[in-house]
Amino acid sequence: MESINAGWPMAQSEAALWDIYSHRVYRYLLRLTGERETAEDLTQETFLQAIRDGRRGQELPAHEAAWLFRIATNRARDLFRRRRLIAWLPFHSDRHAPTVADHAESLAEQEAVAQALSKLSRDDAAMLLLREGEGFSSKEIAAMFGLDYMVARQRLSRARERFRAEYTRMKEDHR
Amino acid sequence: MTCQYDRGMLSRYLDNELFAPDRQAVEAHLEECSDCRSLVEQYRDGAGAIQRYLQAVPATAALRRPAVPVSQRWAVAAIAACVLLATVTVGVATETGSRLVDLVTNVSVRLLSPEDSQAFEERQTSGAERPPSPFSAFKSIDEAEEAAGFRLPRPDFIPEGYYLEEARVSQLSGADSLHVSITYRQGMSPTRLEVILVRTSARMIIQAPAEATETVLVSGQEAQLINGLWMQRPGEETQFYPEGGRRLIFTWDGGPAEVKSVTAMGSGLPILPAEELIRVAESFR
Repeated sequence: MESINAGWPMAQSEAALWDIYSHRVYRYLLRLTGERETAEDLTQETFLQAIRDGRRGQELPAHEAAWLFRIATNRARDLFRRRRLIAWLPFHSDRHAPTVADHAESLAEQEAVAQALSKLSRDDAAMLLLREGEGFSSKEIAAMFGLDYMVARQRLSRARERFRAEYTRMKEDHR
Repeated sequence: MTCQYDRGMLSRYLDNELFAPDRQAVEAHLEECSDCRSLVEQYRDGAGAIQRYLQAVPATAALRRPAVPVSQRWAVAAIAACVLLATVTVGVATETGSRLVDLVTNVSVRLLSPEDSQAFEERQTSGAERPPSPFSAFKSIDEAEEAAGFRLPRPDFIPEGYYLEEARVSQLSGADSLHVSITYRQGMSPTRLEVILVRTSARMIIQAPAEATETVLVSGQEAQLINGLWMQRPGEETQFYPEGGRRLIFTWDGGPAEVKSVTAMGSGLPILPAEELIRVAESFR
């Protein structure tokens, strides 16, 4: 599969970093948490940390997108850890109002994706969003989750299989 | 679907992570097996659906680029309200080789994010409104001065090539402290010149190794020159790095002021010499 990260410009400044990546990081966090405000807050925290790391002159990975999504993923995981008592109600609690472009078919598809992802563990769902949605390689995803490449590879394959089974079933149910 | 072919291999095939012999083996299998062809089709279909699922997220107007305060090394003395702040202990330097320029206390305030993690969590669980950001950035010193409510310096002398990037006013919630940072930059270079003023009823401490500190004169008054910066790298203790920057701390308009030259760690880029910092400080109007 073609990587959709290819050709992303390297941000040359903090403002550019924000302009290029803020929406991508936000939509990932929104799909991961299902809560708009939480996603907004986490996005800002992510950039706050990224900008501070950058200013400190800390060694940054060559691929800035992977670095940002790693921070975002860790922020979300920290939050879930802290909010252990709050139920994990992801994915469909923040459906936006339909627009003209949203015909019934695409809404049904979104619903099916949301339902299928909600059957996965949070980390597995995050991995799939990063791999299929954002185009990160399994090596990059392994680094984001602090996993050995082979372990991440295996989890990704299993998550993909689980998602496929659920998603296919959801789609058939909707028919 | 009955074929028991290794799905991990199919997954790696889809991700283009197989060496040629394995890839060819998978392709040969797919030629023969309609079950696996259909499986691969479903994986692709799912991937496309996840992509569209992300792309369907509308932009939100609520996102704002976060304001990141520049100096984190100002230590503000403990006043009653300090318990509300995210605090870190820098420790009173008692070991030989360190000295405190102005020792008052061992509590410092971190100028980090608008909310500490506890407040953030409480707000998240209670559904309270997001508080207004305590940081404001301005494009001119005049505007920053209006926000700060006290007089700010306009240096007559700024080294060649530097231009005013922004003036930032940070309010520390829970403490009656205002922190103003005026940043000058040289193009896209990570090297910057900062003018910092703090107004607080608390007293500040500035801690630096004795060998990095010297007393100099600014307009005939004693000032502290610190060659180096405190830095904290992830997973490491805070350390003093002599090459990262140079600070000049002096009194202006009855309060503490600082002129600082900083560059990115490890960049090898030069920072301003002490004489230039003194020149900037002496040109405050």
